[in-house]
Amino acid sequence: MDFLLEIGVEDLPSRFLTPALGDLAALLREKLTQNDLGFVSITALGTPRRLAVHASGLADRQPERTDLKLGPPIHVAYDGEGNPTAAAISFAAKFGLTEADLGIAQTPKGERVQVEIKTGGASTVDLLPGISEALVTELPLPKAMRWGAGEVRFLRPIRWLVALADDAVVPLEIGEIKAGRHSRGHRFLADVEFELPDASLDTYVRACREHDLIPDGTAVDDEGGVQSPGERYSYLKKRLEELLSAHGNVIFDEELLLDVTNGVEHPTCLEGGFEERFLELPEVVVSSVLKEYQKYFEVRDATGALLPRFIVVRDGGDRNVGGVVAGHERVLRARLTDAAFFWDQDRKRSLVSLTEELADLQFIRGLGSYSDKRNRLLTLVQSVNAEGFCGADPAVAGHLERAASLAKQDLLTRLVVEFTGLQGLIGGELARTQKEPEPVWRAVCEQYLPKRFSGRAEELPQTAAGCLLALLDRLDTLAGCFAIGLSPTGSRDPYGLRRAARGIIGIAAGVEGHEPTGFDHARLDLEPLLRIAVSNFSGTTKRAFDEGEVYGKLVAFLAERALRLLGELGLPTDAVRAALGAYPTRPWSAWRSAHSLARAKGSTEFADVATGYKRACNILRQAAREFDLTEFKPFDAARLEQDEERRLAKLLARDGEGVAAAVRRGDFDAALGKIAGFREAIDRFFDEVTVFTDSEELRDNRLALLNELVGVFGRVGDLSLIQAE
Amino acid sequence: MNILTLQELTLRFYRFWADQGCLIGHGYDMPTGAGTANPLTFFGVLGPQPWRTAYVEPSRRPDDGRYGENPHRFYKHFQLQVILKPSPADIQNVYLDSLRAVGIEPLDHDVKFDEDNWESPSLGAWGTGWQVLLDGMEITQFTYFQQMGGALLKPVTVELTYGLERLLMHIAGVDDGFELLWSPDVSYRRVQQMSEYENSRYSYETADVELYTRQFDELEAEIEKLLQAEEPLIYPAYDLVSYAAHLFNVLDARGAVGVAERARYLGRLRKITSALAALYLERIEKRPDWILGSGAVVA
Repeated sequence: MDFLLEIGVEDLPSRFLTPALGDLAALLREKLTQNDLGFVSITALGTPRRLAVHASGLADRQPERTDLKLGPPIHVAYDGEGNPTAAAISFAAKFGLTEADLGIAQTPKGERVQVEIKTGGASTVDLLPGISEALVTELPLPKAMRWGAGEVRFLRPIRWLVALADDAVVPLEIGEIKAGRHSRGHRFLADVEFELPDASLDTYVRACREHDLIPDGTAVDDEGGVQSPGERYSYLKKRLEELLSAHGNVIFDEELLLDVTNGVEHPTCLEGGFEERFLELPEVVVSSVLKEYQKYFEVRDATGALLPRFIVVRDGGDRNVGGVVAGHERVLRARLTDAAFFWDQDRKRSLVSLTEELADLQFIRGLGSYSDKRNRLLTLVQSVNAEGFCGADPAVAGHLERAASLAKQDLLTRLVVEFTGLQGLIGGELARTQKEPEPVWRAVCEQYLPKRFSGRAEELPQTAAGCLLALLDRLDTLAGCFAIGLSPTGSRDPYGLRRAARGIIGIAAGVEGHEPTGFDHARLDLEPLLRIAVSNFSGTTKRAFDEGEVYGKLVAFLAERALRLLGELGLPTDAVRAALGAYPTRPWSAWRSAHSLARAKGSTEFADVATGYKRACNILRQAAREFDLTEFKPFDAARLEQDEERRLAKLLARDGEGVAAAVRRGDFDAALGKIAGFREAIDRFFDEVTVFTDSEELRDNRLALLNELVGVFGRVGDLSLIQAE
Repeated sequence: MNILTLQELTLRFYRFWADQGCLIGHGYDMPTGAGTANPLTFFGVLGPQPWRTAYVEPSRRPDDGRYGENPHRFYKHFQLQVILKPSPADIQNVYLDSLRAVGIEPLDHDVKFDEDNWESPSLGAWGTGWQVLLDGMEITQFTYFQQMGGALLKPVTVELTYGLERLLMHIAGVDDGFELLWSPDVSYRRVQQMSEYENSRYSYETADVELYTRQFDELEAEIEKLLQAEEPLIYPAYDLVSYAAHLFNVLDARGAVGVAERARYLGRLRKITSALAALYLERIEKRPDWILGSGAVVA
C-alpha cells in the first residue's frame, strides 16, 4: 500500500523547509513503527508551499501477535480445592479477562498461571487517520503561529491537505481543513487545483511537474553542508554555473543556493547589472548587499574580481524578463546607495570611540554584554601571552591584545547592523583606515574565520594574531554556552557551536599549508585555555555550574566534532578515536596521530604491535584489579631474568626516546616505524615470559617494564582503540 | 488607465478593499510611525468581533529622514493599511488580486513572499509573516498578528501594509520618489520635500532634547493619572502615549538615547499600551456597542 500526505501551506520560510522535511520523515517512521506497520521506504519532499511525505510498501494490516503474561505461582493462584484465589482473579482482571482465561505455564521456577494477550491485526486504513493527524499536530515547530480562528498552530497557515492511502482519501481534519485528493499547482504558472488519483510517489511527482513544481528536499548535515542534493537544487545549480562560467568564475555561495532553492517552487535564473561606481565601496559591502538584502548571486571574472553583475532567481517562468530584471536593478541601485550612505556614516567614528557602547549590546542572552565578552577575551589573551605561546614572535602578543580590544566594536556600525555577515570585515576595514598596524586590522578581519572548516588551509585565518583571536573568541562562546546549558541538541544548534568547535580544531590542527608566521600549532594545548574560558564565567551566570563538569563536556564535544571532521576527510573512526584518546586537547598532535594511524592500520606489523599493546594494557589492568597496583617504579634492568624481557628492555632503552622525539616533531609515521620494530620482541615476551609469577619482586619489575612500554607506545595514540582489520 | 499618480493608486486600493468589506478609515490625528498604531488597528484587532478596515496612514519615522535628498527614504511616508479579522483563508490570493487591481499582473513579475516577522516593542505586539517582494522590492508587509498590547489575539488578524511610494515608483518606472506625481499636476516633491528637509534638520540637529525628555516624563505621569482614575479614559490615554512614542522617536534620531536607555523607554511605552489593551477589553465587555467591529451590534 502507498500512503501520501501533503500539507499545503502559505509560503514557508526557506530556513524551515529542510528541517521540516527531515522531521516529517522521522515522525512517519516513528508512527509506523509504534503501530507495528511494516513499510519499504519513506520519502519526504516539498517546496515552500507544500510539505509531503510518502510511504511505500505499507503493510495492509498489523501482524497479529500473542503475548504471554505470567501471573502468580500455582499455589498462590489456587486454593486447596482448586478454586482461583483473589490474586488470580485480579491478575486476570488486569488484562480485562476472567479466571476462565487463565492457563498454566511451566517455568524454571515451577508452575505459574498465565494469560494470552492477542494484539495487532488492526487494518492500516483504520490506523492512518490517527497517524496522519499526528504528522500534522506533532511536527516540531521552531516558530509556531496561529491564523484565522486561531485554533491551530503550525509553521505557516495550512490551506489544503491531501491524504491518500492507495486510491482512497484518508479521513483527516485539521481546524477547518478537510483532507482530499486535490493539490495546487505553481501559484503563477499553473494556478489550478489538480487531482491525485492515487498515493503513489510516481503519480505525485509527475503531477507536480505537470503543474510547474519541482518537489523535493535537499538533505543537509547537522552543520548545514549539503548531504544529498535534491532535484530543484541540482537544476538551479547547473543553471547558475552556466551563467557564471560565461564570466569566468563559477564559485558561488553554497548557503545562499540552499536558501534560494528552499524559497522557490519553480526556479528561473535571470542576470542583471549595476553601475560600476558602486565597485568603489569595500567589496565585502557590495557582496553583502547582493547576498543578504537581495539574495542575489555575485558574479566574478576569471581572476576573481567582482563584476558589476548579479544573478537573481525568480520563482516563475520567463515572461517579461526585461521588465523583471529592470525592476531588480532599480532596487539594487537603491540598496547600494543606502549602503554607501551607511559606509560614509560609519567611517566617521573611530573604533576606539565605540568601546563604551559595547556595554549596551547584548551578547548571547545570559552571557552578558559585548563589553563583558571583550573583557573575557582580554583575560584569555593575557593567559595566552603568559604561557609564552607567542614566544616565537613577541610582537604577536601586543597585536593580539590590541586586536582583541577592538574586535567587537564594529557590531555597532550601521553596516554590520544591516548585514551581520560583514562583522569583522567592517571592523578590519575601519581599523586599517584608522592606522592600526597591519597585523591588528588583519586579525580583526579574520576573527570569524573559518566560516565552515572543511579541511583546507585557505579557509583559516592566515595571521598569528588572527588565528589566536578567532580561537579564543570561539572558546569563550563555547564555554559560556555550555556553562548555561545551551549546548546543541539534535538538529538544533542556534549559536553555531558545532561550527565553532570545528573552527577551533581547524585553526589548531596545523593542516597542510597553514603556516601563519609566529603561530606554532605544536605548542598549543587547549586545556589551560578552556579552563580559563570556563572559569571566566564563574559567578556571572544565573545558576552556578561545576567548572570541571563543563570543562569535561567541552573536551568531549571537541572530540566529537573532530571525529566528525576527520571522518569526513576519510579517516577511519578507530584511528581518530585512538589519536583523540592520547591527545584530547592537542589538535596538532591528534591530527597527525590520526593520519599516521590511518595509514599504518592496514599493515600486519602494526596490527601485531597493537595487539601486543592491548595485551600489555590488559595485564596492567589485571594488576590494578587483583593486586591494587597502579604506580610503578622504573624497571630495574639488572633484575630481568629471561632473554625475552631483556630484549624488550633493550629496545625500550634504545628507541623509547626516539619515539618521544618523533612524536614531538609531529612525525608520527617515524614513531610508528620505530614501534613496529618492537613486534618480534613483544611476541616473544608474551610467548615466553610469565608476568604474574609467585615472586612479587619479579612480577612488579615485569609490570614496570610493561608500564613503560605502554607509556612509549601510548604517545602515538591509544592503540587499544584500534580495531583489527 | 495607467495608474501614475499617488491619489489614483490610493483610490484604486480604496475601491478594491471597500469591495472586500473594509471600512475606509482615515489616518490617525496623532504623529505615528506606522498604521499599526492607529486606534482602528490597535483596538480593532483586540477582542472577538470581526473587523475589516483600510486607510492611508502618514507615517513619521524621524530616523529615516534624509533631508529630502535620498530618493528612497523619507522622514514621513504614506502607508496603505489593511486589517482583516479573522484572516481569510484565501488571503494570499486576495492580496495578489489587489495588485492586479492597481495594474500589476503577478505572472509578469517576480513576486516572492519572503519571511519577515514583525515586532513592535512599544505596542507589546508581534506577528509572523512576510515582506512581499515585487521584482526584489519590498512593497508590502504581510503579518498575522499573534499578540497586541501584550494580549494573545483570537481570532487572528492579518495586516497588510503597502508602501505606497515604493509601489508607485515601481509602477511608474520612476527612480526618485520626489519625481512621483501626487495628482496629475502636482508632484510629490512639491507636497513633501520642504517638510522632509525641515523635519530632518529638526529631528537630527535642533530638537530640544531637554524639552522632549521632560515632555515624555510629563505625558507618562498624565497617562498614569488617566489609568488610575475611577473611570479610566482609554482613548485620551492612547492619544497621549502615541505622542510620547513620537517624542521618543525624535530623541532616538537625535542620538540622545543610549541602548540600555532605549530598552527602558520602550518598556515604559509597552507597559502603558498593554494596560490600555486590557482596559479596552474590559470596557467593551460592558459596552458591546462600543466594540470596533463589523456585523450586528450586540445590545
